[in-house]
Amino acid sequence: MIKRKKNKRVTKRMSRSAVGSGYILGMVVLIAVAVVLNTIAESNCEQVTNAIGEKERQIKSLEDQKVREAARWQELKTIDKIEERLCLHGMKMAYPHPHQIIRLTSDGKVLPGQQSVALARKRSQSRMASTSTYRQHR
Amino acid sequence: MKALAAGSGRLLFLEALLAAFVVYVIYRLVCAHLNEEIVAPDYTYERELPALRGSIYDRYGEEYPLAKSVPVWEYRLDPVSLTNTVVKKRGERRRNKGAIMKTVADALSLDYEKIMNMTDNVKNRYQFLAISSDADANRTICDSKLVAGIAIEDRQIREYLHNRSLCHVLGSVNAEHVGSAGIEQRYNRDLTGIPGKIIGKKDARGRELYDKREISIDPRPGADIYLTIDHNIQSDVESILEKGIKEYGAGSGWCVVMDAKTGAIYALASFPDFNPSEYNKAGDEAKRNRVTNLTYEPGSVMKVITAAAAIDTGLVRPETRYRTNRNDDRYYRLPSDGSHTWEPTMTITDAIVHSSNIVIGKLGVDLGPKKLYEYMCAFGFGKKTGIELPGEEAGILPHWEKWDKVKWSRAPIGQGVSVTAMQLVSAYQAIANNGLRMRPYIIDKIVASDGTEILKNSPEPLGRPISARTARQMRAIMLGVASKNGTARRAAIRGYSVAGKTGTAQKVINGHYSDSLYRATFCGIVPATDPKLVVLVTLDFEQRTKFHQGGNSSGPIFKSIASSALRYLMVEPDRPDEIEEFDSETEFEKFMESRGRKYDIIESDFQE
Repeated sequence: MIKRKKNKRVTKRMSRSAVGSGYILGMVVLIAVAVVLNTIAESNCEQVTNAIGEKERQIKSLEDQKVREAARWQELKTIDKIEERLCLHGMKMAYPHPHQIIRLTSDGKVLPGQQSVALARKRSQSRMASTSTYRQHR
Repeated sequence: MKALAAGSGRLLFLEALLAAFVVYVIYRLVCAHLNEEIVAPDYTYERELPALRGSIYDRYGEEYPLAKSVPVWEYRLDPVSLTNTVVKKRGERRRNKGAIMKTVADALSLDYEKIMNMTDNVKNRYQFLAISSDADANRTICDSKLVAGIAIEDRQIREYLHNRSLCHVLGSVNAEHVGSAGIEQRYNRDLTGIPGKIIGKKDARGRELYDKREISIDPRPGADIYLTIDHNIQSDVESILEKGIKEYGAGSGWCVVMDAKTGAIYALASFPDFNPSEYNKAGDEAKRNRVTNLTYEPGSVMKVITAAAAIDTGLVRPETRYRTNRNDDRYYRLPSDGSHTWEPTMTITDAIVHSSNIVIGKLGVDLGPKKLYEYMCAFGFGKKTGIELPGEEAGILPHWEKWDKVKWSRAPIGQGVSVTAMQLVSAYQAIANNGLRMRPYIIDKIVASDGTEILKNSPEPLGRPISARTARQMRAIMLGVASKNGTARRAAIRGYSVAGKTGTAQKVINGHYSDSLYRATFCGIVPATDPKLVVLVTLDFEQRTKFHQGGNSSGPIFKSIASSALRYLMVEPDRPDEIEEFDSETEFEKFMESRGRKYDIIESDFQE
């Protein structure tokens, strides 16, 4: 009888302890799940944050790069640089004299009142006259 | 039984405690994610976004910037951080200091030995290494597997793309990017942008929490300034003037090219000059813009103003004759004339062509100081022209009542009054523009970053000191100066009529006129029949040379500058017969140098 009682008590104790430890286990699991979920959420947030930060940096970097490249290109077009380059190939640029320029309209007609045209006509007339005199002489 | 109850109570208490803790953790987690108030105010994140300074362009706009701000990286070396850091590279276990510095030296094109020595100076942290805009170099140095101990800071530098060109107009900025000279200084407020701002929250590690960003204001770049300067003419002017200063042995020189009709400045040069990127290293003399910030006695170039005043009042006509003797009781202490007085009488035209001090001195006395003073004021002397450059001088033109009797005959020939080069060129512009003086201006417009125009300059008349008829007569008279008989035959340009005047002013040293130091000026209007440009060239001689006269030094420089500008602007020649007659410029120059044939002044070109 005593033994049975003892056994009964033991059984009862064991069953109560199992309920308590199951409850604790549940809690631990709950905490663990919450921690894991929080970590995942935080990790996702950080990823998005990093992505946004990276994109912002990229945009800034590209904008800066565009300004730098434009400045570099514009510097290459300065007179000093162009003359330096031409000089390497033994060339030098000069503006034409206005009497060497003939201005045309968009449909190819000569604009009136140009000295260059008057001079060219005068020269060609004198050349024609001298050629005809030479032929007559021959 | 009691023990069992006690054990169960403890267990329950423990369970309740654990449950409370779980609830608290969950509550904190929820709060952390949902409730904003949980974030302490110390976690406020604030960042300023720098704005780019506005650019300065010439008259062609965006294609040819003269000054521009560019974002760059500033690299500094921290020897302490370098020695404490072990940098690993793929394939290598660790890199030593030498290997790191070699990478830095290669990337930034620096001297390896020099920067290795810098690493030994452990006391001096953050030593300056370089400023670079090279993105590849930046990528290399940013790679922590390659480089350590280098601090990188985002900055912007001011680039002057044409180097020293136009330095006195553009000016410079200091280390804080604040304008300290020229246009940069005068329009600093417009050029400076408004920085942007980001306000939000940050995490415990100081990183911005992007979802907590509250305010985000983009930076607004500074306004862009468009000048009336033409960089092609400017470049020619600078190279010709610099060469001329060396050739004629002058100490300094300056030049202005102005549009004859509008007063817009096409080119402005002053030597010695400086590099705007190294403004602090430049001397005071180099920093001085001699066109607007230096007053000097103009000398004979002022005779044109006296003659114009006398003709405009009706006192004389171009052909009116004056006696060239100095012993006349009516005139008090007339200036001498050197070798010009070979004729007993001289017309006003000849007095200008030969630059006669006696005749113009007499003319000034006859005109009277009051009238002369009024005309000088009307031509803009004695007050600032209003050009948009800082530090412009007004010149010195005392009121006529304060003139002594000597000044009555000295002021008409350009002695005893001080002017700036800008005032002179502005006065000549009035003669070129048929008597209408325009305000000289160098800024075309200022445009804000959003495209709105803050300022738009247009030609602004300042007055009409002389009538159109007098202006035409004066141009006809001045044609003779650049003719075979004139004082500036070397200023004549094949194919174009040149109306100008030379000036050889003695410099005042310790209150006395020096016999050896001069300022040689030539101011010319081309083409004289239908003026397009007014060009002034002055050379300042610091020692005696044979080229100290305006016609011998400034004249030829004027010729080179004006002919180059006329060709560039494709201005039609108004004397095609010269092009027909002389096949080359050399032939024309030889003709002008040979004496014996008088070149006629074609006054018919100037008839109304």
